[in-house]
Amino acid sequence: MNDIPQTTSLLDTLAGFFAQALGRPSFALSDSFFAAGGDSLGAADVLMRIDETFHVELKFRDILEAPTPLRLALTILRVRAKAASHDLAAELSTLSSEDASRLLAHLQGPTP
Amino acid sequence: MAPDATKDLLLALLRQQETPAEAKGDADPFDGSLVRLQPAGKKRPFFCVHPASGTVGVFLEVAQMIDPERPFFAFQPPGVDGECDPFFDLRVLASGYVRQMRKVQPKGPYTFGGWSVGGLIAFQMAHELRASGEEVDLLVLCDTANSEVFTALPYTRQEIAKFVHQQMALMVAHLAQQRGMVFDVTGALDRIEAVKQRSLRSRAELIFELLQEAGVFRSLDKRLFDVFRKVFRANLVAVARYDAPAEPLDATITLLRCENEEFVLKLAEVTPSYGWAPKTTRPVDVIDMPSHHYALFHGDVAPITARTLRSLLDAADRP
Repeated sequence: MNDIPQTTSLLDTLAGFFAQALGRPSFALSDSFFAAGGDSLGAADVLMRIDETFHVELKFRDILEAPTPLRLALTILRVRAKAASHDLAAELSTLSSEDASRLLAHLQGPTP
Repeated sequence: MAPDATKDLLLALLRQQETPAEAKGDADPFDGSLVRLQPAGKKRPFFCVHPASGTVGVFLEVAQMIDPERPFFAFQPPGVDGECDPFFDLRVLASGYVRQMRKVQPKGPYTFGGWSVGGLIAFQMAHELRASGEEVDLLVLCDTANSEVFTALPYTRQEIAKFVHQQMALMVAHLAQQRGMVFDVTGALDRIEAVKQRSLRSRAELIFELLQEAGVFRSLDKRLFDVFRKVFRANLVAVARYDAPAEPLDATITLLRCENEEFVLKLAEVTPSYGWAPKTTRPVDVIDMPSHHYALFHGDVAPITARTLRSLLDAADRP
């Protein structure tokens, strides 16, 4: 298996970082950090926590272009796959089943 | 759906979205400068240059409000991610952003602008584009004064210094206020005034000292703090060293002028165009905004700024 425990939710952890940076109790997975009042300094705070927890150094542009926990999670998967020069498939195997379902629903958009 | 099937489908979708790796040529330090704040839409894009902080998250609110059919791209300077040293030359910044702008939109006419320091960089970009035969349909300077006015106009050195100090105190106050913190502007101003040696370095140091005390940087580690400080300082130095082209710009300058009545310089009274009239062959289009300098892209003012930019862009699109 993998060194990252499958029970840890990437999405919930990210939502938690967003909430902490904004001083809120919680944060919705599809809400924008900046629309919720976050700014560059708060974004820096989120990026720092991501670096500490997931060992991936994102850039400001990453959170600006992917300002929701759902979208930022996909960025993290891509960046990590690239940095470790292994396949996205290997990166996805570290996801919890629930996270995978939520990300899939996000990519497929709202069902009619 | 079985977990494996979910992940297979997710993987397939992610692979579809993958963009082909960019050709590895000579690496341009400005390759990370263009940030797609609002990528959707088929209309001609609007490009907007960062203020002194170098960060472009400040534009996000307005970028989402202008027009869902019009892409909004922002420029951030190299160094803002701490991966390289920032540039101290405003012309180098302008050229770098023009290169990135051409990658998105190879030919003019262009529509772009900048806030504060970014307005001055946008002005230099317009010069460069016109020199290479491109048209500029819209150049919006968001509360940017031609930096020459501060030396050309009959202000005393004390007045100029006071103005700079007020700007510094108000910027810190605005950042603190946004975080719901109380900030003593008068007290900060006294301390700024008390700085004897007024080099750019000591100014920047004091700004960041105040930001730390106001709690704005509470959550940042030393490395990020240093990155912000370096970029901020580099941008201020770039403005101080900038020597605008002598010949006037052959493009219309649109100035969004903020109500800065608390400032000692009374710039709008002394020079209604903020010093831009002699720098262009055409009349300066002045629009007054119900905002002070630092609030132009935030809160209650954001929808007004967005509406203003939208009508300017729509007008620029009309033949």
